[in-house]
Amino acid sequence: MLAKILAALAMPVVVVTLVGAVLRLTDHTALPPLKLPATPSAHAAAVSRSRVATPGQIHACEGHMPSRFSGIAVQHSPANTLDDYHKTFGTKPQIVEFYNAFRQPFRAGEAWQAIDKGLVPFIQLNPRGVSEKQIAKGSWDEHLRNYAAALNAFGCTVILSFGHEMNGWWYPWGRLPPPRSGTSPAEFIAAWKHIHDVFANNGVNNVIWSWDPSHQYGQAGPGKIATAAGDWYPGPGYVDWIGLDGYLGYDRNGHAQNFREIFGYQLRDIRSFAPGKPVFLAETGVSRGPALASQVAELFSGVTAYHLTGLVWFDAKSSKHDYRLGSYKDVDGAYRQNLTGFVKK
Amino acid sequence: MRERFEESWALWSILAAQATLTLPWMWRTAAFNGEALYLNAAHQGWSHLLSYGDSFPGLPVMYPPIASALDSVGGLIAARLVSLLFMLGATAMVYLIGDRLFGRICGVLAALLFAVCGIVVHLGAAATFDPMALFLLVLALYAAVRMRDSGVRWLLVCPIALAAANAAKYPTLAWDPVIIGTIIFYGLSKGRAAAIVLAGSVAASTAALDIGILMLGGADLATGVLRNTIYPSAQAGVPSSSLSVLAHAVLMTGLIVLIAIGGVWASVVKRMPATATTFLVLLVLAALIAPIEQARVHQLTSLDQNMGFGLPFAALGAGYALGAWRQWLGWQRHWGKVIATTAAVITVIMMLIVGRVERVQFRGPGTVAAQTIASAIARYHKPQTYVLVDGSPRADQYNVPSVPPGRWLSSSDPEVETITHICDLKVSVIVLRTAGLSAADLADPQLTSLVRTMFTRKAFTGSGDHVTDVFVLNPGARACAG
Repeated sequence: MLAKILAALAMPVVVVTLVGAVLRLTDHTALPPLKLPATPSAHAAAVSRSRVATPGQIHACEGHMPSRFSGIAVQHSPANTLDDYHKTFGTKPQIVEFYNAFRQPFRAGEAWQAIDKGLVPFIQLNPRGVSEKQIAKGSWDEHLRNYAAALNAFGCTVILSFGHEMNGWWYPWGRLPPPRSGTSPAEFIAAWKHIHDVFANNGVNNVIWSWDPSHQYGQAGPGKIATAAGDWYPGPGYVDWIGLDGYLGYDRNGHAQNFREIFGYQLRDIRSFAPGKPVFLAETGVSRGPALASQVAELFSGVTAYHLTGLVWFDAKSSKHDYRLGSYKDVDGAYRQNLTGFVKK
Repeated sequence: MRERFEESWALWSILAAQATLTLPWMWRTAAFNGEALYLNAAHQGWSHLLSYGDSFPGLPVMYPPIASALDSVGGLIAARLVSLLFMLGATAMVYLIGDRLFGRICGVLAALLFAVCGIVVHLGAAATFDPMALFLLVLALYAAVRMRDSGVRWLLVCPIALAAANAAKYPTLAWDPVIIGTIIFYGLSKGRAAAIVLAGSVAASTAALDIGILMLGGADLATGVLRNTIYPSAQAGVPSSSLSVLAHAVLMTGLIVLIAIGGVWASVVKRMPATATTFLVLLVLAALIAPIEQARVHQLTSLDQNMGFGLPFAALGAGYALGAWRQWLGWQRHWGKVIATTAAVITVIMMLIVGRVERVQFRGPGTVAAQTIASAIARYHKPQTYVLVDGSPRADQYNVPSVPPGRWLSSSDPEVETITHICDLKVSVIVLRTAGLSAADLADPQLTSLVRTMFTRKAFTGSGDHVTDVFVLNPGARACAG
């Protein structure tokens, strides 16, 4: 028995020594950073907030934003993309945007990844496969109440958008080309107001409501009609920010598009029906081409010239273009150059 | 010699029964999303595998390479067979532990109850992290029990097996205190100081190994551990009420846990030493860890897999209870043993019935149905076009390796511009699922209408509300704008 006791006393020492040696040999001498995200269960906001430790995290949690901000939209884990961003540009954005299917629960994990990095989470709630009529009628109220509870439990500020680019012809939550009917502006507005009211009735007060139309308007092809943003506006009492989606690229003649061509009309329209609301670019980027450098400069200077509050770069691939940062030297170079001095405290 | 033969006869019969119950599921079901993900990830190479450090529920370089190697040699069945071997090993361990703790009859009954439980049967037919982790956890428990009376050997085995179980699947960390508790409560009869020193030694060594693995794995692994243990929300499904979670748990293992609680009562009635009763309480608590935690986070996802880790403990408690009652009844009446044996048989039959009835989440789609869908996809997919799958395409991707990984789209991916792809004729095949649990983004009436205008249904499986359709782009289909 004595031998066993001695062995028992020696074993942890031997194990620690061996493990330590392996870690030193492989240069793994520091504990990895531990992120402690919240669960969506019914913890009080105060409990969640107590997880926020550093000044940067507190700043993000309370939703403080510079007067002009930058952000990125991501397809995958915000934490990984933000790490890559930091490696490439040596700084961090102030907002990270990600997507949340309407029928899914609140993505607390991703939201906490944002807060952990000192960023405000920006969630695009996409009602794919969900009728907005049904939302307005209250068929999704139980789900909305659960979502509201999760937002309350999260406790930190969230920028929330519903049915972005609703004025285009490509999403079922907007108008669709015939023979499909899609959603009418009245149905969209009713759904938006209903969601807003359900959240308000359930005590949600940590959401910045961002209404995000597309820059497009007019007819792009048979049946492909994008309408003026104003038709879809839920009203000043239901919207805090307005985010415009649009990208600089090339028209059919190969002409490099400028800021005014892409955003000018809708910005004028928005200023007329929503004076005083902060406006920013909620999803933007520049497709690669010969005019890349000048278009990136045009994008950033356009935000300043039109007195927008910031831009969120679509750091991902779309079906036609690759807007990712950290993948192409020319894109990174142009982005880095224009980002310098862009963010205004 | 005869006794040994009898012991072997009982154990081998149980293992044969377990294999008989499990084997049909290997062929009856096709790969489900989890299996397909693990196998596909490992097939794509080591560096690709490492990128799953922040999401897999266990060390990506531990179980997946083994499963994928077997998958390469003998297909999904070979990968699942190794799971069956792990589960048979776990059953044998439960028998050996029960025999050592409470006697041979209790060991047999514990192993029998464990082997026929639906969770065990289905884990044995699933190429996932769980069977390996469960085997290692039970091996650690066996070492914890052997440690009291044997030499140094089992003292060394215990922390290694426990750390390996933790690495194989992170949620097993929740049962580490139970193993340490076993060393203490079972070892107390041989001296309090020795038991505490042994337990402390195993705890410290396991912690050192776990921390070492965590540091080697880096930030991604740390995120993966958190995401799959105390942080359940990232990939979890729609929240369920605590009551619903507990109701499912009761259906799956409630009977065994109830009998194990009866074991605690029997121990009190028999005036067993307090340490023995406490140990039986520990076994019951170990069975409750997973249901309570899942109820706390309102999640049904992975409930059955996680409950599997508590099942050996509950089975041991139940084995003790049935053995104790059998003994007591035998003393009371001359036909008491007959009644006790009948009760045990009825319990086993009820476990079998529950195992057939319960809906186990990781049960894959029927093989015939999956093959129908896979053949249609393989046949109609055109090069340079996409296959759009309603919900996750992982299982279909695994079943149709001829379609390259970059040619799969999921309608639940918010960035997939479904309409654009369809309208631009970039999608040649659409798999539309109307099952209640699917993401079912394409169930949107307008999109469904578009699919039905431009595509023709070439294959389908299922009936009623659970139908999978394969739609193929019409040869003369024109882009939407036209």
